[in-house]
Order: sequence, then structure tokens, then C-alpha cells
Amino acid sequence: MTTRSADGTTLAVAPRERLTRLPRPIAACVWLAGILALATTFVGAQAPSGRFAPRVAADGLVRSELSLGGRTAILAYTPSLSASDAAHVPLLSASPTVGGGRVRIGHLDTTGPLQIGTVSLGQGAGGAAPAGTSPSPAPPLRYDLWLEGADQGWHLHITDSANASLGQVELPRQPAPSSSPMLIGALVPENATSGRLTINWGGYRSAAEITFPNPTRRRLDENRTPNETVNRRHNEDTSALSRARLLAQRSETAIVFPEGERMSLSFQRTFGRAERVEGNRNSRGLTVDGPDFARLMQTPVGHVVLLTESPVPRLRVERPLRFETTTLALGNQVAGFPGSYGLWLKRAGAGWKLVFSHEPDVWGSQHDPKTDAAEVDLTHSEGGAADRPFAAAIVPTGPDRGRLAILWGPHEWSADFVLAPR
Amino acid sequence: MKPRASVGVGAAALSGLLFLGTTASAQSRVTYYEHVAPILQNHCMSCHQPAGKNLGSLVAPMALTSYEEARPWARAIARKVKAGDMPPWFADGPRGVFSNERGLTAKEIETLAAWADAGAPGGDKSLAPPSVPDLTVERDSGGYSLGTPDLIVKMPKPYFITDESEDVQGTFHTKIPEDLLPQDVFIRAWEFRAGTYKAGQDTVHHMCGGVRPPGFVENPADDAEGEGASGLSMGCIAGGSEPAQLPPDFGMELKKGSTITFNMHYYKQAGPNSGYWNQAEIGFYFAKGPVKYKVHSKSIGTTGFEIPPHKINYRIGAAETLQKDTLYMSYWPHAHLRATAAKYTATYPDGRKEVLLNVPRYDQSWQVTYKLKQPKLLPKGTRIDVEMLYDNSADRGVKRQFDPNVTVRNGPRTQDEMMLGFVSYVELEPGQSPPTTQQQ
Repeated sequence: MTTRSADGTTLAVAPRERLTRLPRPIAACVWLAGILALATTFVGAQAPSGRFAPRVAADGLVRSELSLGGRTAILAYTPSLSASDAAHVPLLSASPTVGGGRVRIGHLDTTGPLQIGTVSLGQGAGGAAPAGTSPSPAPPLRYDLWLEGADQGWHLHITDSANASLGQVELPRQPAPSSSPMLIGALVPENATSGRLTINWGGYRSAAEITFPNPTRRRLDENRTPNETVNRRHNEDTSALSRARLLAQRSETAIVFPEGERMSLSFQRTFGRAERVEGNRNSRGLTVDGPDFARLMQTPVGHVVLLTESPVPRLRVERPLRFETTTLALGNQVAGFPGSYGLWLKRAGAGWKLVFSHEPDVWGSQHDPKTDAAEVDLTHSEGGAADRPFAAAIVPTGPDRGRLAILWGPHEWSADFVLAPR
Repeated sequence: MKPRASVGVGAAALSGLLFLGTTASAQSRVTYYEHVAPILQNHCMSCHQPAGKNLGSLVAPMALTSYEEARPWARAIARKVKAGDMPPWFADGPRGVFSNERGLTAKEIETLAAWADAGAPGGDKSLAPPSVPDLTVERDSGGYSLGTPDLIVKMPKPYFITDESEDVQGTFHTKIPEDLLPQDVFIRAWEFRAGTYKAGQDTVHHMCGGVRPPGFVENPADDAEGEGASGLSMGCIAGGSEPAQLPPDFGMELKKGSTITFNMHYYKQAGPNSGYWNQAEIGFYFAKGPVKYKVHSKSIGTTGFEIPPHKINYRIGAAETLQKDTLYMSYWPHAHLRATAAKYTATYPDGRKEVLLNVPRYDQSWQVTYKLKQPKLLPKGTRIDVEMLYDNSADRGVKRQFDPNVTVRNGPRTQDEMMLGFVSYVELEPGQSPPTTQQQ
């Protein structure tokens, strides 16, 4: 098997590579067997018994993570907040009582300053490592979130660990297109350093703006003091440093399902005109005034959208995901480990498809169709802000399901998925 | 590595047959002074010098500058050149465009092998070639291979890497005193001297140098923004690197009051008496005439990757589109223990593609800068794709001493990985003509 390069030639050949990718004939057999037996298809190598442990301990909570500007916010809640519970009915009535029906819906962690509506959080979170050391994972600051009745629907009341009130955020309610029997919360990217906290519950939906102020521009926490050194051991845990470097280049959304299995989707950060992109001095990321957006709608049918100013978005899954009849498997890189895929938008007739490839870390100009693993249909709509930079989101829509969305300018492409058996 | 002037398979086979048939006579004729010394002078001695010389003091482990030094290594020399491991050159294309391209002809390899088989005889000393002028220059200039620099800037003070240290990084700044640099100049060449050589250890993983403009304040917050290795305009050296020399009319600006930044990465085994002092320095050579083209360096790279455990042939890419007509001067692909291949490809505005550099057998131990004989003109709108392959397998882990069971991400230690495609370049201003000698 060969690895194709940007010029269409091969970079290197390694026979053992065959062990790590599903040979096409076998893939075809699996495909056929799936259609006949299960009406589903599996792509990538089948995962044997899991050799990896989920990074997050299973605590029964659903988590929606959003990392923008080098910082991370995590919304965590129980999936069992039922709309039909008598204690919740006052909040979900057509005319909730002001201040009534107070319910703790979960907690919010942040690794840095975070603004929810008019409430500022996270002051003092994170912080730099001491000079001469590698950064260690700084404990995030945690806040409790309470939902209360209000004139326009709900208030989000935020308290600290001592239960002291930090403020309220208005959450105007709107009728939801479909009823949500359990509370579903999510953090959704909206711009380079801002997004929304959304809540769907009963017949209503609501959202508050969240902002990540003072974004980090590059890999903070390294070599902070001139003329002093950082001494590292060969067996030192540098994961926090790697995480900082990842978030210096990429933003990320993630879901952690109740059993601790994490699905993450990372994509190129967008920078302001005066800022620089890590590792690429000419690029500011995927802004709508850049060359890639200008070419977006001219993408020929049957071709993927090339991103010359960004790596391909990367989806990492610790549990197989099923998109309609297509299942995205674990172990597509190496058997027994999480799945890792590159995502490509593809023009398909009048619509769009999402292509999952086995190369999650190539640049957006380096698509190799031989590494494509699967395609799923995307729902395309327009209506977002015209100046919205590229973002890719994976958000929960239930305790066992979610939505993968790509946002860029007014465009939004999405596909729903459910957790598939291991 | 392939022999530079590789001949066809048939020709190689034929020469092999001829060689077998004439081994005895060849052995009897091949001597150090008449046959071997010229080859070593031309292809080996620039690195194989006594400790402390050349390559920023990142020297080869044994000197081969005399018969006495070379004779004990005759069989090892034969083995290495026949295997293609020496002299180190890892690119298979394009051929003939790099000024520092290394390699031996089939005839030269045959000569070295025959010399070893014959017992490494010295022969008639009167047949020895004249001594290498470059080496003479180096010995007379404190170890600088380009001669005595016009300006030498050192780290602000010596730094001690302790016995317990394994993987140490630091950024040091030295403001150039006005008496040393009373006026703005252009630099035509610079040479790093890592300042340390400890026998048997790769004590300096890399050294990068940069020029900060006058008024630079040693602001921790600014430094924390992480210029690191990738943002320094003078590039870096590691084992296998050579001094940077620019063509006539090319130069790098150095203003009076500038600050020189040393980004140092020390890497050794911890243990008793393994510690050492280090004070790196950079020698600058000033341009004597006007400079038309200002040279910079940067990297095309990425930091957000994740190499899965046990994965082989894992491709990581980065790209950049040129905003101006640009002259490329050199390429330096930089990665760590798991990297196995690197490639730079230009995609021109008309869609045509050209491989600028292909390194199918990347070796982290040899950080080669591929220097173009003539600058390469790339028009505005050209996209440069850099791709590297990585091998996180158990087999390679044994050879390179890393743990294949971990997901590998970007990080500063040698056990972490990097994906950086360095280039040195000149951006042409509108209306500025390229030099007449650039590649097309």
C-alpha cells in the first residue's frame, strides 16, 4: 500500500500498512454483509475488545465541551432531568412563575475567563506554569447552574462552589421544533471566540451567548522566563503542554457520553488580522474573506472542498457512531484504539456529503481519495451570520445521540448520529 | 542513501563482476595517500574533524583527517559507504540542485572497500593530496569554518546542564553592545557554534538563532508567546548542519541595537559526571557590497496532530500559499524520532505540480538543510505542501528508543514529535526583479 502525496506520487511504501487499514475487498464484503444482515455498514477496521480506557471516568453525566481561543468550557449534566417530573413542571409550563421551579441542571467547568451573558466567570482559572517547569493540568474552576422561572421563560442562575450567587443570565424561551423529554444542554461554537449555551427541554429551547475573552494566541506556558531553562524528564507527562499546543492551533468541540466515552472534533482556529497562526505565518484560518471560502460554492460536483489555509478537521471517537445506515468504527488507525478520521465536505449533485477519511492529520489541500472511509449525506441550510468563520461542532442531542455540524458563513451542514454498539 | 552518481542496474552488476575479478589486484594498488585521502578530503573531513571543530561543534564521533586517524576505521568506513549510510544524504530528488548534496560514486565506494580489504595500507606519503584549505581556515579562526567572523555574539553567560538533566530547553537573549555593532549591517553568512561537545553523547539536540529588532524588551509575556524554534529568522542547526552562506546580493539585515536570541535544546542521558557547561555563540560575516534581496526563514508546520500508538506511515501535512513572488533558498524538514519521510511540493497557480524536495528516508539524527545552488523562483499564489510520514511502531521504538504505546503529539522533548518544514526565502517586492541565476 502506498501513501499518496500532494503531487499524486508516493511518499513511501510499507507493506505492514496493510495491517492497519481495511483492505478494499474486505471492506466491500463487510459492506455487503452489513446491507444484507443489519442494513448497516461498518467502515474501518472492527475494534477488538477495547484496549484503551476512556479518558473521562464514567459518572453518568453528559458533557458538552467547547474549546475556543485556547480555553475550554465544559457543561455537565445528568441525562435524567425529565420534563414530566412533577418538580420540573412549573419550569416547563406555558407561564412559569418568576423565580419559581428552581432546578439545578448541572455544572460548568472552565479553564480560563468565560463570559455567559452578563456574568463573568473563570477569573484566575488556569494560569501559567511556574518558570522553569512544564505546565501541569491546572484544575478548572467549577460553577453550578440552576434554571429558574422568569418573565420571558427562564433564568440561568450561576453559583460558585460555596453556593454564592454570581449572577443570572436571561434565557428567553422559544417553542422547540420537537419536544425533548429530557434536558439537553450543549455548548456550540459561533465565532472565533464566542458561542452559545443551548438548552432544550420539554417543548422549549433557549440559548445564552458565551464568550472566551483574552484568547491565547500561541502556546502559552512554555519558556516563560528568558535566560532560564525548562528541564524535562523522558518519562514526564507532557500531555498538558501538548494540549496547550493543540489549542494554540485548533478549536475543539466534544461530547462525553454517560459511560465516559468521548467524541471530539477539532478544527483550525481563526485569528485576527494582527495575529499569526501557529505553524503557518501567512494564514489566519478559515475566514469568510479568505480564498477557501471564495472557492467554496464553486466546488465541482463530486469533488471535496479544499482547505488551503487549514488542516482537515479531525474527528476522534471512543465509541462507534452510526449515521443513518453507516457506522463509523473504532480502530480504523490501529485495532483496539479509538477511531480517528479526517472530515471533508463534498459536493454531491444538488446536495452535500461528509467524507470520513483515514487521514486525520493531513492539510486541507492534501485529500487522497484512496484513504476515504465513508460518506454520509448532509443537511444543508443557510441563515447563519455572513461573517462566521469556519467551525465544526459535535453536540449532544440526547444521552445516546448527537449532531455533527459544519458552520461557515451563512452555511450550515449537519448530520445526526447515534451511539452504536461497541 | 544512494551513491550520488548512481549507475544503472546493469552497469552496477557489470562493475560488480569486474570488481570481483580484479579484487586482488585492486587491493594491491589502493593506498591511503594516493587513493583514499582525496576521497576523505572531498566527502568526509568537513564533519570528521577533531572535537570542537566545524558544524557548530556538533562534530562526527571520530576524526578522519590523517592516515593515523583513518586507518583504525577502515572497515567501518567500507561498511558505511557500501550501505549508503555515509556520507549522509537522504533526499532522492530533485538531483543536482542542492549545493551541499553529498554522495560517493560507485568507483569511490569501490576504492574505499578495496583499501579496507587490503589491510588499509598507507602507501607513498609523497602522493598525498595537498591539505584541504577549508580546514586550514578553520584551525586559524577558532573553529569557524568560514574564517574569522566579523562579529561573534555569545549567550549572555555560561549555562550548566546538570548531571540530572535529560531534556532541557531554554531561550537566551544577548543584546549586541553598540561598540560591537555601531551601525546597521547586512549579513552574508552566519555560523553557529553550539559551544559544547561531549564525546559519545548528542549533547545538543538543536540550536536556533534569531534576530530581535532594536528596542526588543525581554518581556516574559512576549517570550511566552513561544517563538521557540519556529519563529527565529536565522534558522537552526542540529547534527549534520552546516554554516549558512548567502549568494552575492543576498543578505539578512542586522540593525545596531539588535538582540540575538539563542533557542537551545540539550539532550543527554542523566547520570554522574554527565553535566557540562555550555555557552553557544554565533559568528556573523558581513556583506561587503549592497544587498538587493533580504532573506528570512520560517516554517510551514502544524502542531495539532495525534499519531496513534503503533501506527506506521502516518501522514501529517501542512501547507501555505505564497502571498508574493518568492525566492526559496533552502529547505530543512524537522521532526523527531518517529519521522521517516518528508516532501515539499509546489502547486503553481496554473495547477502544475513540482516536487521541491523528497526525502524518502528521513533520519532525525541527521538534520540536513537542503541548500539550493540557485534560488528557486515561485510566483505569488503558489501553494507549498509539506508532508511527513511517521512510524510509531514497536520495531522503530526499539531502534530509536521510544514508547510505541502512546499517542504522540507535538511537544518539545525528543520523545515528542514535531512537524516543521523550514524554508529560507526572499519575498520580492512589486517590481523587484529576481536575480538572473535563479532556477525556473
